[in-house]
Amino acid sequence: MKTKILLINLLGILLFSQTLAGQGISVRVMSMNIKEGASYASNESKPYADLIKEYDPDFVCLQEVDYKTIRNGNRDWLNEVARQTGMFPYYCKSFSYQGGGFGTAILSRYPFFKAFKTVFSSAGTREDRASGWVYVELPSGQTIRVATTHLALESADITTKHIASVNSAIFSEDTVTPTLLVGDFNATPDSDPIKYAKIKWQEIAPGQGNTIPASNPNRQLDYFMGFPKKWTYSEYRILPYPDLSDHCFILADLKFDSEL
Amino acid sequence: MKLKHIFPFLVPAIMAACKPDNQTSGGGDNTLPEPPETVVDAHVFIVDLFSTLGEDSYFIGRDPSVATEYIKNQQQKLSLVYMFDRSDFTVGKSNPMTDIAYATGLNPLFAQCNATDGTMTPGTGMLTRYPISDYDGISCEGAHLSGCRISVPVTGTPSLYISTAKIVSLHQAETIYRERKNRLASDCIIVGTVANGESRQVVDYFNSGSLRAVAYSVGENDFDILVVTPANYVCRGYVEGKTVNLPYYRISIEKWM
Repeated sequence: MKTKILLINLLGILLFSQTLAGQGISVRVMSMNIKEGASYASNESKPYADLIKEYDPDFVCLQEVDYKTIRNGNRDWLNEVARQTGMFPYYCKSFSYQGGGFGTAILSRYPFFKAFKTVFSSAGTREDRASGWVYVELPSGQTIRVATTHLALESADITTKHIASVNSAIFSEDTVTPTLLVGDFNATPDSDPIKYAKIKWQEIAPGQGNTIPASNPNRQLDYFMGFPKKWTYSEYRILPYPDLSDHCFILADLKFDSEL
Repeated sequence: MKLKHIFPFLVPAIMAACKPDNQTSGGGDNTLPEPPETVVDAHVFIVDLFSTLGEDSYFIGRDPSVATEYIKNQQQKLSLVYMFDRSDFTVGKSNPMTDIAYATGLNPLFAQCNATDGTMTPGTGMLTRYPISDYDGISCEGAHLSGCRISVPVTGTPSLYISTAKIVSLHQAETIYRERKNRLASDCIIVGTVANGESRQVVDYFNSGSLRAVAYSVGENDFDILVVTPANYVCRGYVEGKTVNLPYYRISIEKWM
């Protein structure tokens, strides 16, 4: 037993030292605004789960997820997808709705050891909006924080305030861990909110194309943002599935290198 | 600078820094008031720990549907959280936690107890009655602790972090205490397991930090049940049970002050 304990301790120390050495992080991330609780697919989970399995991301950041609402037939949609994909779910309720909840969510290939959400509520907004994040220790020993968001859209000023609110919550907790902020920003690339976001965040894969409406995209509202600004990308894809959402889904392989 | 350059110097430095310090206690004077002998049932909540108190994966040779039936048919005081030690997670495969959660309408969480090797992560599965938005934990120097903030049906206790850890060394206990001592002293309860040979040291360490820690040795198992609470809570023991071939322990915790 003592030998086993010493070996386990040594393994922990080796993994910790690997973290210190700042080796790169490589993850595949997907963002999916599923439109009012998967309404385009009659609230079914299987079409989305099948898509996730096809593209095999490490993280899926979701928006407009229903939890046990009347309109979705009182189903725990996120857990259904988690079960089908073998991923771990984290639900961030924005507000109570139809007996259940409406909000954002994250699916993670690996278990998370910490998770938190923040809810933005402001005069002039129609509804509260949750952003949430998980901390995951990757097989490499590195830790990553992945956040999902769905920004307010009532005005550019309100969207900017929302970003400031998310920044405050995220960075008051931790300014060290490589972080991704992914989702529907409800703002176009040339807008003031995105310009504001890019003060703190790196827009990863800029100018790749439009993401809404899925039938004929004419503007970009969905983004991958990273912090610190040491991220690169490959295999960025815009995935139009007009039968599953009004948004295109976005997918990219992202890398963080602390030595950049 | 590449890892291979700094590694020879890094490992000894880290080993020195992580060396258990027998001089370091969890805190100062630990004269905690003794809780009353009489248990007030309305102040008690239950955590069900499904465990073999060993190192094996719990659901090898055991059917998650048995746990599902146990949860759905529970007649006694309902458990606040159901824990399954170890409920190892294999990448890309449905985890017993999500299967049981789907069947029972509960919500799954997973507290890893060691680093993932890329395909398998060892840990403890947790099921809660409501979705959890506040899940706090550490993964630091080989120590892991994770817990969910949930409402507790006890007067004057709006919510607690119900956490779990599988502790195999005093160093892990020291790391957990160092990283979370304020929370452990106020609103965090640990229900987990501790290696049998380390339990005395670990319990003494947490108790020296003005916490209430207790370890229960059950039979000849490799691990003991470990419960750590703030001073105003007390573990009132456990009831051992078995549903088909799933052993479990119903752990009672009382808020007494």
